[in-house]
Amino acid sequence: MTKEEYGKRIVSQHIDECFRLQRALDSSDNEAIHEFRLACKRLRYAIEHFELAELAADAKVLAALTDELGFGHDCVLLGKIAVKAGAPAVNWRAQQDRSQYLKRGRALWQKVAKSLVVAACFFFLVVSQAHAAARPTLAAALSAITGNYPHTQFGIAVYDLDKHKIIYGWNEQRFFLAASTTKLLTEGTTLALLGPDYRFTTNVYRTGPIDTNGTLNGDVVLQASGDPNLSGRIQPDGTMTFENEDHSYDGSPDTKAVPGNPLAVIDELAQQIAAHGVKTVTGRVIVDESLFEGGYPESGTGVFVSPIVVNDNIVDVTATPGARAGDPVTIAVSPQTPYVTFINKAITGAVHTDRTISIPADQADAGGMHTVTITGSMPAGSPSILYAYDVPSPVRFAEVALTAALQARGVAVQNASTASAPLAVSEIGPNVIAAHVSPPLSQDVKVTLKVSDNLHASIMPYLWSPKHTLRAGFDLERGFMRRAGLDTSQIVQNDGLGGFAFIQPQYMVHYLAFLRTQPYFPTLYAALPILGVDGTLFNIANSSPARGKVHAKTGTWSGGDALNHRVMVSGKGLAGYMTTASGRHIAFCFYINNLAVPHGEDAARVSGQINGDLATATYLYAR
Amino acid sequence: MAGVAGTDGRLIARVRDLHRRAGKVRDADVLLKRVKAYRNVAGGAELEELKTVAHKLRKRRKKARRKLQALIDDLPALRQ
Repeated sequence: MTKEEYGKRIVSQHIDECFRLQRALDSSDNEAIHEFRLACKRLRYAIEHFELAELAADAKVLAALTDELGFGHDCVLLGKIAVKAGAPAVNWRAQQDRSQYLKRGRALWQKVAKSLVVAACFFFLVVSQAHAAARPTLAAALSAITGNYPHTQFGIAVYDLDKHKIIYGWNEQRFFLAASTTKLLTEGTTLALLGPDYRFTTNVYRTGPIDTNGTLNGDVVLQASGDPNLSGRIQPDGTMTFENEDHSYDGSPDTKAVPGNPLAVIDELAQQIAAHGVKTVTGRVIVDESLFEGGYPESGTGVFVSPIVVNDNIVDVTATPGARAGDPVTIAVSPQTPYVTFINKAITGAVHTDRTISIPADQADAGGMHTVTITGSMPAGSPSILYAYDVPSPVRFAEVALTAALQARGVAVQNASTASAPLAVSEIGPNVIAAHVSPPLSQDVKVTLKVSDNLHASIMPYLWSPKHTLRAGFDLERGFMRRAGLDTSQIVQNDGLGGFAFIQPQYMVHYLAFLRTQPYFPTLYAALPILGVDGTLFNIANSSPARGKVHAKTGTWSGGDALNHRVMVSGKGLAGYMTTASGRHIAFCFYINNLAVPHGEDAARVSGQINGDLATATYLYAR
Repeated sequence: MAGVAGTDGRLIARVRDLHRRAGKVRDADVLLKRVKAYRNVAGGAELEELKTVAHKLRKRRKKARRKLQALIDDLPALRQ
């Protein structure tokens, strides 16, 4: 072996080391970041020592990268000293600086990583032709990751979409808790049975005539259609927007509601009613929810399932701490309706104290209105947090919102304060006075899969069959899958979102391979989160060379461990598609079951990073 | 390498110690420089905090410098 070949072999090993450690950039583990920095230094020195001209520019980027991470490390040290010296403001400033250095370090790594992958592949060819040096196989790369978690079960299937076979499997014939990867089954079935162009039509009827004075002698009836997007998601161009951390997953600094008016569709319906010349409604404003039997909280985030969905059946309560301990916490409520009134008793706590804000369950008054007292504290200087108030009665919420929207347009509703009695379908007259037609279903599939919206996914099985029951819906799903040649005995499904769902990895990859052949596949593919970019994968593997190359659905199911103050991730999944660095088209499914995560760590993210590592290894080593 | 240089492993260990102790002095210098930069933009209570932190860092530097010097002073003994 020549000196140059030897140098390329050594540099390849250092590149591998950097990629093994690069996930540190996505963590808050200062030691791991430091280790990654040292690995980058070793790589740079190796490039310089062996005078590899093709990597000279990368060595300069690596030098800048290690400088930035070094400055960040200095800030960590300074922060520790400041804390010991009782100097919180200095610590805060150091942490802010550290974040900036880390951000710049990440950007530099992204800049250099792509070229290093290419170099590693090229060097591999050079070295392997001259010498039988073994680069890690896919099996070795994946087992190197799973081997770090001896008490956790892994299920893996990697399927070559061109050769039509599983090229790597580990426990692929066993059942794994699938959590929200089940939504791939739900949304695939929805696209197959309803089609990506399906649109919901939500009509509003009147049950009596409108006289010349504008008096509607009767009720106004909104007939719920199962449209999950009577909200502010709809954009002027007909697309629907989303936030990576959806408001149903509340309590995280990243959680946001979509911008705009959450009652936009309700306001649009009220505007249409007023445009009919209605000035007074002698009866009630009623929502007919007879389409299917909801009224229960979905098992993931606890949002109530119903054929009527206004703002995802959530009231967004954003809490912001004051500047000092003892200051009141301010809250912002959206949408504001008479349906719920919040009494704010939350206060600002000292810096570094735990956040204890809670929005307790409450009872409705005789008119179906709610009063909720917010208690607890949040630390001074911490970011605003969005909390979701899960609307206990979506029907009453919609009735109150539509009533308020009518009143805002000068329409008096005489029975506005009375909770409605159930309405028989036969009571509904044929006189449509307002209607809302949704954007195509493809837009809702995007929202559901990108943010893993449990409520939207829960509704879909009710819509598949004209009977509008879960049983009839699942009968159709089973038929669809069997016609595709899939063995449904390899999956367990009980709802649309993935509560008590179990899937064998082998099933998932064969199902994904089937979907790829279907005409609606582009819709499904475009709806999947992208690794390191958006949706539920926005903060996973951001520095990976596979960033942007993996389109996949996540799933997370976890519970507490009161004894040890930690979180048990009972199910974590990632299933989807990628084109690997060597150009292979892959469908894959990774399941992690029973991973104990220490107190204080973000369990969803920690387990997500492991799946991100598995995806990165597959991207690099599936050749 | 130790054999080539005609020394035993003690020299290598001592060089590592030197590197580590010099690093501590350098760390304190770098952090003091950062504190100085912060003082140029800080005000009020933070300025007082920075004074406290700078005082602590100078103490750390002095201690690290003393330990480094002791190690340097001890080097001739190793050559004998």
